[in-house]
Amino acid sequence: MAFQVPFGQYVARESALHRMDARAKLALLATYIFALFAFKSWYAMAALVALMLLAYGLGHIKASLAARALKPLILILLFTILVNGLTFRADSIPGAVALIRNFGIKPDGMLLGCFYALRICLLIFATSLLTFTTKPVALTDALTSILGPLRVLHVPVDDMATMFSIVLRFIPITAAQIDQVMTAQRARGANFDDGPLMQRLRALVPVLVPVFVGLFRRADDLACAMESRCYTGQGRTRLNVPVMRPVDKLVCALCLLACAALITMLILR
Amino acid sequence: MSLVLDHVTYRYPSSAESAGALAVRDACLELEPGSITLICGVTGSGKSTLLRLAAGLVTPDEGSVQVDGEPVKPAMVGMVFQRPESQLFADTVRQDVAFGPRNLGMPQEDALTLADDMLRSVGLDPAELGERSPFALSGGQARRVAIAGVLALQRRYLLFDEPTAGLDGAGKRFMRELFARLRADGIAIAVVSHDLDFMLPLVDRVALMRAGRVVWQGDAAGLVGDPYLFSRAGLRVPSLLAFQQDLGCMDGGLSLDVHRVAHWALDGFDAAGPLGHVHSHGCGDGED
Repeated sequence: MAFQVPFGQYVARESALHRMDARAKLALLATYIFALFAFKSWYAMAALVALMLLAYGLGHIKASLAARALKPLILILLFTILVNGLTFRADSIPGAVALIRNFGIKPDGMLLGCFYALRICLLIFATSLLTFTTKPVALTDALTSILGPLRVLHVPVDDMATMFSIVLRFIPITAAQIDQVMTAQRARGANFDDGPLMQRLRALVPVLVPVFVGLFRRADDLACAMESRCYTGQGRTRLNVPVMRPVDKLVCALCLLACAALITMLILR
Repeated sequence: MSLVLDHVTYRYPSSAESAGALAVRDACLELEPGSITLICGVTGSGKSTLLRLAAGLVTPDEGSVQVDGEPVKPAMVGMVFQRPESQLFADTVRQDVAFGPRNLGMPQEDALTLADDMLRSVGLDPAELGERSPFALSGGQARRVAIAGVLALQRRYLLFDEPTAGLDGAGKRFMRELFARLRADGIAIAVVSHDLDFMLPLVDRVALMRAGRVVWQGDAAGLVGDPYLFSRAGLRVPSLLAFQQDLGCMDGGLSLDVHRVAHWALDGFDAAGPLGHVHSHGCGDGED
């Protein structure tokens, strides 16, 4: 019954990753994503996969949980592989296998598509791990802290942080709402599971319309409720000010070093 | 001919944080044609899940749900969810009501004609509202349109989850008349509600749930005669019965007609007539 999208959920565990300061985890994530796009070899990708599995182990989180978040992305992953692997000029590309006239498969392109798809998967795994191990409030505080210096440039840092935390909060709410509407339409004979792809996509219209209408209404209610409680977004203070431990500072320093090494590698390449 | 839940058990799927909780345990329930069954219990007692099981929208881990001897499937039983107006989606009211019949394979023209009939049956004028957007309706109208959409499935069994939530007096009056009409048409109805003061006078049978179990079920009159059963389900005694208890009149004396009092609460004193009468012995002196 439950239509669960694990992305954006916090999973309470006792682990080193959960205890780590959210800013250090953001630094780790940024460095990991930088590395993900900097390296172009399969060896590096294998090392990054191993690193990700190690991180999931450290966080006491099953990687299968994040794998569930990939389900809605299957179409995008397939598209990534196919758009790189198929060609309309099979006759002029060395190694290409023609299927129908000039339309065919490029083995190199197919491999490249798989590389990009793996990159997307790792991106989802990494960002999911951040939300699995960090409470939304801690994440918001970390963003406010990191972006704080931009206030001098009149960037609405507090509003951005609040928006971010609301977006995270709305992910499970949206999933629950989709589940609710799908169940209701199924009770009226709607079929989302069988039939050709186009028919199944059309069957989603009765779900998406009420879900979006409901979300806009909920967002409007939330805005009114926040305003009625005097939310202005400016000059907010914290009950618990996050303090970085030495180990968190060490992680941040290592991330900086890793980023510097990656930039040097890219320049020298 | 009935809808039977036979020793049904259901556990929620496990989530990221916890193993699945047992929502319904070994529950048995039977809905008979032309009767209204009220399912009540505290929040989280498994009432709504029991309805979903009865509607075939979730599959029980143990036990079975049978509709007229056949295993239940989605859309075999009509179900009106909480705040059904939030599930409207089509361009026009008429199309929204026709959605269910169309899914069941009814031709477009027949489905639209049926939709008009159903709109009339819930007190709406299809000529006036049929071509309007469902998002341009008032809350009460949207609720009626959503109910019409479920009635359009033309099922012999109907389930209502909190049908009176958020309704004003007029909306509740409509619900009461609808239930009476459906019962007279031989439809079996199950209603999950916290609004016991409103529902008790309308129903034939009551099932009390607690922690996923049906802890008591029987005729509504039996429950009214023994208000202490409510405490078994962790519920507060409905105010009408509590009032009767406070008067000390459970064993004779002033006998309040709870049906009339509920009617009076909705329609006013004149429409309801006398609220009760006094026996020759007991706690009152006057009449009515």
